[in-house]
Amino acid sequence: MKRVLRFLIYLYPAWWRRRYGRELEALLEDSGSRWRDVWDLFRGATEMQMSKWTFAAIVVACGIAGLVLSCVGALSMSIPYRYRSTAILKIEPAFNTDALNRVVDAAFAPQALSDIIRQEHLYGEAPIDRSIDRLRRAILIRPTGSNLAQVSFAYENPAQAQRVTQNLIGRIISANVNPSVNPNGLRIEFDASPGPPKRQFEGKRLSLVGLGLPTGMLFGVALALILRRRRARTAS
Amino acid sequence: MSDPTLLVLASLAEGDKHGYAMMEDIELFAGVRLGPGTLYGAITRLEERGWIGPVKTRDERRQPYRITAAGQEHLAEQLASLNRVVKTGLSRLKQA
Repeated sequence: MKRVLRFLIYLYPAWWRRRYGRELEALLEDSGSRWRDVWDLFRGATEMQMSKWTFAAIVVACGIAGLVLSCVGALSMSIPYRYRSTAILKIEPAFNTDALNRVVDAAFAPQALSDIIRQEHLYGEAPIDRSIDRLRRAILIRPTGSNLAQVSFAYENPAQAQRVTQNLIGRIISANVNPSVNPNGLRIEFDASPGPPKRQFEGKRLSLVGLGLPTGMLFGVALALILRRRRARTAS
Repeated sequence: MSDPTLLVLASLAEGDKHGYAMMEDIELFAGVRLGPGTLYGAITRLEERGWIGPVKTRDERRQPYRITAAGQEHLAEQLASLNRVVKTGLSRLKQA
C-alpha cells in the first residue's frame, strides 16, 4: 500500500514534487496508509497537473483521451462477432461430473476435433494444434439441472456454430455407447437440439466506441469549469 | 464548513503546524479527515495566494506553516460571512 501511495507522488508535476514531495512523503509515513488515500492522491495529482493548463488544453487532453478510448474500442471491433449454439443433453439416472468427463474426453479426442475442424474449415489457415486448442476453448459444458447438461459452441459463423454443436453432441452420444468409456451405464440422449445461435455480448461495441470521444470532451469541459470556479473562489 | 483551504487556515490560526499536525487538528475540531492529496492541494493554493508561509526548520520533511497577516484577514472575512449564514439560519429555524 505504501509503495502505491509513494508511486502516486510521481504523478504530481516536477515543480510541485521539488517543493512539496518530501513533505508529502513524511505525511504519508506519519498518517498511515488508507486505501481511500489512493484516490485522494490521484485526484490531487491530476488537479496539480491541470492547475497550469488552460481551459482549451484540458478540453483537448480529454478529447485525446476519448479518442484513444475510441481507438481501443475500434481495435476490439476488428474481432468478429461470435455466435453460440446450444444443445441440451439428458443424462440418466443423474448428472455425474466424473462419468460425463470420461465420455467427453473420449468424444473430443484430438483426432475427432481435427476431423471437425477440417470438415467445417474452422479457424482458416491456423496450425491444427492451435485450432484444436481454440475449438476446445470455444466449447462449454455445464449442468443445468439434476439430469441435464448444456453443451454449446461459439464461432464467427452462426450456421457453422450450429453444425459443429450438432456434431459434438453426436460424438458424445456415440462415445457413451462404448462400454469401456462408460462402465457406469450412464445414459445420455438429446433433450433439445442445437437452437439458432445467439450473438454473444460484444454486440454493443459500436455504440460504446461512438460514445468515447463526446464523453471525453464533456468530461474535460466539466473538469475545466470546476477548476476555474475553484481558482476563482480561492482568489476571491 | 468543508472547504479545505478554510479548514487549514482555521487550524493555523491556533499556531504553526506541519502537515500531519494540521490533519490531526482538523479532524479534531471539524470532524473531517483531509486526505493527503486534499491537504497538500490546499497548502499549495494557500501558499500561492500568500495566505500561509513556511517556517524555518531543521526537519525539512516536516515543514511547519504559519498563517500570514493576509491569511488572517481572509479567514476573518470568511468566518464572518459564515457566521452571518449560521445566525440567519438558526433564527429562521427558531421562527419555523
